[in-house]
Amino acid sequence: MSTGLAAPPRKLRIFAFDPSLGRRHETLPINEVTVSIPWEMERIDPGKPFLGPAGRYLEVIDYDPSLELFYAPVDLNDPRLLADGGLRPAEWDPQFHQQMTYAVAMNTIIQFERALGRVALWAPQDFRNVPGGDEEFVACLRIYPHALRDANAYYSPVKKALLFGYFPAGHGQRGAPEGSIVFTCLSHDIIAHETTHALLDGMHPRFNEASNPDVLALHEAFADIVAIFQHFSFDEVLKDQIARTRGNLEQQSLLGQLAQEFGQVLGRGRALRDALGESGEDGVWRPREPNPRALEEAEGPHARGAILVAAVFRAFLSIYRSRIVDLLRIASGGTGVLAEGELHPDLVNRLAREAAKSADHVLQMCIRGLDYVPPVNVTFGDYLRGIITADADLYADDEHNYRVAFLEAFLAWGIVPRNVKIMSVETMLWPMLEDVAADYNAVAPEVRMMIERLALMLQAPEEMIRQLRQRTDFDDHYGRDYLDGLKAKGQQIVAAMADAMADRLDPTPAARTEVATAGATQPARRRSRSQTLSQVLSRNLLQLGLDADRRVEWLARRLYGQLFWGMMTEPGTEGLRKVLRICTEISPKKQTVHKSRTLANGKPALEVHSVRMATRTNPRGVVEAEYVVELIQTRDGYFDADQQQSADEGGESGKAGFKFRWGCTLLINAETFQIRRVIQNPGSIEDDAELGRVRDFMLGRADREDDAFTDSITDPEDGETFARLHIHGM
Amino acid sequence: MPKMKAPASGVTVRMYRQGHGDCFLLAMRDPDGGPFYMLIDCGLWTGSEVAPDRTIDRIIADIGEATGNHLNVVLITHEHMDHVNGFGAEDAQQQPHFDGIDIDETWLAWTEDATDSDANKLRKRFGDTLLALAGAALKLRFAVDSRAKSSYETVRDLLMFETGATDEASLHVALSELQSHAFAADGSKNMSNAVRKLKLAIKYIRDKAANGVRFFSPGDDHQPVGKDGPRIYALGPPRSEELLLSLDPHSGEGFHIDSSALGLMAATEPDPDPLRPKGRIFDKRFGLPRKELEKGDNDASLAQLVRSAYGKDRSVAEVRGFFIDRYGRKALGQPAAQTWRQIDDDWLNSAETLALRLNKEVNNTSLVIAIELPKTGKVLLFTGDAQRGNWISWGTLEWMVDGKKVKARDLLGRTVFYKVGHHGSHNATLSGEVTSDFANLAWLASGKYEDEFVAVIPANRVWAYGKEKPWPHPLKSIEEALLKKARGRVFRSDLDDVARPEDVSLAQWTKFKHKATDLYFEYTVSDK
Repeated sequence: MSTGLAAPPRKLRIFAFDPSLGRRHETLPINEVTVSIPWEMERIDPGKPFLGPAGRYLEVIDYDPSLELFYAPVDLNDPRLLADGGLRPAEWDPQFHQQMTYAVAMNTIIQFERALGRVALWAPQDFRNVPGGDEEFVACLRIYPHALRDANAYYSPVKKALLFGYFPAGHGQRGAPEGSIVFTCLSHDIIAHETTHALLDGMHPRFNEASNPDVLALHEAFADIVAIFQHFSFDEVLKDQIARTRGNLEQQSLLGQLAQEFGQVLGRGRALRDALGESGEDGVWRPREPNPRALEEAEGPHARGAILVAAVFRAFLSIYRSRIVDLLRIASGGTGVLAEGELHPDLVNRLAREAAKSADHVLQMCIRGLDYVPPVNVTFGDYLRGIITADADLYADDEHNYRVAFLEAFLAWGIVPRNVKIMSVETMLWPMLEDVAADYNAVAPEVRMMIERLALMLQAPEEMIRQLRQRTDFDDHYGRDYLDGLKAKGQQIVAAMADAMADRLDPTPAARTEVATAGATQPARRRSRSQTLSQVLSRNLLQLGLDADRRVEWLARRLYGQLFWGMMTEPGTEGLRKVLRICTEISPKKQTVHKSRTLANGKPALEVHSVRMATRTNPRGVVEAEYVVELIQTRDGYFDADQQQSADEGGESGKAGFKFRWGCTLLINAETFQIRRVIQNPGSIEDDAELGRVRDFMLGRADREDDAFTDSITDPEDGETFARLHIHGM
Repeated sequence: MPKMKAPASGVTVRMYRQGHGDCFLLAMRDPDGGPFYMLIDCGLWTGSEVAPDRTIDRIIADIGEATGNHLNVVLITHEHMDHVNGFGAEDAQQQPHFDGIDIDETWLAWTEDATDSDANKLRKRFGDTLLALAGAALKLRFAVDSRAKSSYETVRDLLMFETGATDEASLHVALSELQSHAFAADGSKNMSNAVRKLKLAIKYIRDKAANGVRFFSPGDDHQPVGKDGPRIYALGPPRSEELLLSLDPHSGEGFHIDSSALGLMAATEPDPDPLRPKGRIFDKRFGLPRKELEKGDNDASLAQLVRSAYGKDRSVAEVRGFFIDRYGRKALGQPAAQTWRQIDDDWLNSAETLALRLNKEVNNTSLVIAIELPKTGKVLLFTGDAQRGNWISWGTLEWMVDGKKVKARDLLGRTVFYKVGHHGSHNATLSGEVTSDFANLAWLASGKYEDEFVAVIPANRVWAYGKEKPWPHPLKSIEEALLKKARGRVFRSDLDDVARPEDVSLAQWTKFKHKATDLYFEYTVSDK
C-alpha cells in the first residue's frame, strides 16, 4: 500500500561471506556487499532514530548474558549511516554485528515473501498452558548476536529468537588465527540459515517433530539452500566467481560453500557442509558425484540434508548450463569450447546474469514447493512432488524444462517418493480431488456444498459464524467457548485493523507495541477510524497479499482456520472427509486417536493448522491465487507394540511414548473454490503400519545418539530441537 | 571358600555380576605351576546393582578369598566410576577393602603416565574442561527454564560420575573449591578430595603395587608369566590425538571441545569486579553493564558509558528504555509472560555438550589388551569402554615377536573371548564387514576360531531403561549381532545364565562349559 511517501530502499553493508575473506588478499575485493531493504517493509520515519535495529519483522537485542553486558544498539537512521550504506564491515564493532544480522535476515525474509506472495509470519507464541492464555501473535523474530560462548548458533522455537555464539579459534586451525574470536553472527550463511529455520517454522510448526529421518533433514537442507542461493544475488561476487571458474560453476567456488570461517576454525579445513564436493586426502577438490544409494548410508539430519542440497544444486547446474549453452557457442565461434585465458568481461556479465536468473528460479521453486507438502511427517519425496506440482500449477508450460531438471537431479541422488511407481513429471504431480475419490460422483454433492460454504466463509465470515451458531452438536461449554471465540477473534481483527490504519498514517516505532493485546493501544485514534465488526467481517481478509498488516493477516488466518474447522466437522460432510482419508468416527479398536473436546459424542479431533493464501503472478501477468489449508489428526503412540494394542483397544496402558500424526494439505482455487490438489501422508491416522514406521524410526534413533546421561529416543520436552541439532553443526 | 583354580592351560575368567560396571578376575598358571591372578577393573555405577545384596563389598571379599589375598596384576582400563570405584570402597572404619589384598604390579594406559608429555597435555585438557564444567554447573544450578534445568542435571550427573562424588551437596562444595583454587594467584589447580575419589582410588592402587606401575602404549607387548606363557598385546588407547578424540561413528568433527571449554571457562570464572568483567571481547566503550541499566536514567556513570558508546550525546533514557522495555529486568520474581524471551541461561547449555564429550573422551582412553595363548594362538580381548577412534586405530598395529611379524588384524581374527565395550552401547562395538578397512566385530573370531567365540556384556538393562533419562543399552542391534556370531554364548551380568538358542542342539550346547553363580560367571579359554 502506498502512503504517498516514496522513500528509497535502505542500503546496508555486510560481509559477503564472513570476515575470513577479508584476511585473504585474493578474496578481499569481494569481501563486502550491500543489500537493499525496501522502505515499505519497515516504513520508519527517517527523521526518527531506528535503534536496534528493531523494526517490524526483527528486533536485534545485543545482550551478552555471559558478561551481563548490553551493547549499545546501532541507530540506522543516524544521518551518517543513512547516507553511507550503514556501518562499514568491522569485526571489532558490535554495532556492525547488529547491522549485519539484521540486513541478512531481512534479505532472507524478502526472498520468502516474494516467492509466496504473502507476508511472512513467525510461529505464534503459545501461552495456552497458562490459565486464560492463548496463542499470541509474534511480530518480531528476536536476534541475539552474542548470546552463546560456543561454536554454535541456533533458532529457538521456544523464544522465537536466533541465538548466535562466538568462540576463540583453536590451535593450528585455518581461517582464523589462534586465540582470535570467531563470531557466528558475522557469517552470512549462518544468519541466512538460522533465519530460514524460523521462517519455515512459521510456515510448518510441525516440521520440528522428527517422525522420520527426513523431517529435520529437510529443515537443515532447506536452510542451506536458501543460504547458498542468496549469494547469487550478489552481483560482484557472482561476476568474480564466474570469471574465476570461467563460467563453470561446478568447479570449486565460494558460492556454494556454507559457513566458511566457521567450518575452517572447527578444524575441518573446509566449509562445514560442503554439499557440492569435497577435498580428498590430496587436498584436490572434486565435485560430489550423485550417488543414488547415498541416502541409505546417510545418518542424521545434516548428512541427509546435504544430499538434498546436492540434488537441488545439481538441478540448478543443469538449468544454468542449458541457459548458457548458446552464449558459449556465440563466444567461441560456434564450437562451444572457450579459448584459453580470461573471459571477456561482457561474457562474464552475461553468464552472471544467467546464473543469477537460474538461481532465482531455483530458489523460488524451492520456497513455493513448501506450500505443497503434507503438514506433518514430510519426506524428501513429498518435497520433490511439492516443487514440481507448485511449478506446474503456476507455469502450465515447462518452457525451460525446469521440472525435468529437478526430477532428474533428485532421482540421481536416490530421492524417490514412496508409492509412486512410475517416475515422470506427470506422476509426480499431487493428485486432484477427482483422482483421490474412487467414486467422485458419489461425493460430488458434498463437494458442491463445500464450495458454497467456502465462498461464504471467505467472503462473508460473519454470516458463516451466524450459521455455525445454529449447530446442535456444540452442546457443552467447550462448544460455547468455540463459538464465543469466533466472535472474540473477529473483534481482535477489528482492533488490529484500526491499529494498522493508524500506523500507516504515522509509522513510527513508538506507535507500535510488541504482542499487544487488543485494545491496549491508542483508543482515541482507533475510535475515529474504526470500522464495525460487520464491516470488517463482510470481506475477504486474506486477499491483501504483501500489503497486509501482519497482525491482521495472522488473526485472519486463525479465524479462517477455526471457521474451516467448523465447516469440516459439519454433519453431512462425512463422505468428503472419507475421500480425504480423514477419520470421522473413533473405532473401538483405535481408541488412541485423539478425541475432540468441542464436538459432542467423542468424535475424532481434527486440527486445522492453517488457512493461508498463496499468490503468484504467472507468465501472462495474471495473479494466481490459492488457499492452502492444512488438516492434522493425532494418535497416541507407544514404543511397545503390545502396549499399543492394549491402548488401542481402550485397555490400561500407561503414558504414551510419542505422538503419531497424519496430515493432509488442500489447495483450493481462490476464484472457483474447487479443491485443486490433495496432498496427504500415506495411510491414515488409523494405519498401524504407518504408526509402526514412526515408532521404528524413533527407536532406531537411539542407535546413533545414545549416551549415559540423556534421553535419546524422544524429542526434547523443552522444545529446543535446533539448539541440540545445531551444536557444532549449523 | 577354596581359591580360584588356575587352569592346566589357558585362562579362566571370573566375570562378576555386580551390575552396571566392570570387574574381571583372570587366573592362569605361572611357570612353577602356581596361580597367577590378574584383576581387570573393579567398579559399579552407584545404584545399578543387579540385586540389592550383590554389593561391590561382596565382590571384593570374593576376590580376596579367591586369590588368597594376592593379586599379581591389577589392570585399570580408564578413570570412570563404573570401572574404578571399587578400589576406593571402604569398610565401616573407613579402611579400604583392598587394604588386605597384596598387589605386585599395576597396569595402566600411557595416558596415566606423568612422564609422558602427550599424556600431560591430555590431562590438562581434561582438567580445563572439568573446570569449565564446574563453573557452568555452579551457575546452572539456579537456572529456571526447563532446558537449562535439564542441562544442569546432565552436567551434575556427569560430574558425579567423572569424579566419584557421592552426593550433590558435596559436589557443589568441591566444585567451588576447585574453582577458587584454580584461579588462585599461584595458579594451582588443587582439587578437593570429594571430586578426586576416582583419582585417589587409582593412586591408592598404584602406590600399593609392590613392583610398581607398568604403562602400556599401543604396539607394546609383555609376557607376565614367563616366556612360555601368554603374551599381552596393547592395542589402545591410540597415540594419535585425532583418533583419541574421535568418538562417534561419522561425527568427524574433532577438536571443538577446546573452544567451548575455553569460552565457558573464561566466562564462568568468578569475577572480582562485575562492572569490568573479564573475558570481554569488545572495546569497553561498547558495553553497558546490565546492573547500571537497571539502576535508572539519572545514573551519571551510565550517561558516561552511553556517551562513549555513541561518540556523541544520545538520550540515556532512550537507550536504557530500549533494553529494559524489550529485554526486561532480571528474571527473578518477574512473571514468565514478560521474560519468556530472555536468554540469561542459554549460553550455559554448552556445558551439556561439553560434559557428554568429556565422558566419551575418557572412555576412549581405555587401555585395550589382547591376551594371546601360546599354543593355540587364541586371544582374549578386553576393550574397556573404547570408542570408535580407539577401534579405528588398531587396524594398522604390528609387533615383532621372535623375529616374526604379528599383526593386530591377525590377533583380532583369533579372538575367541570378547569383553564387549562400553556395556554394549552403540559406539563401542563397531559394526562392519570382514572386508572393511577398520577393526570391527566382523574381524573377530575368523576361520577355525569362529566356533569358540564367546562374549560378555557387563550391563543392567532394567536399571538402564528405568533411569530418569533412559539409556537404551545393551543396544538391541549389538546384542543381536553378538548372539548371532557367538551362537548364543553371550554372558550378560543381569541375566542369571546364558540361554540356549532354539537352533542350537543340546549336544552342541553342553560343549559350552561355564559356571554361573549369583555373584559371577566363570569360563575357561583353554589352550588346547
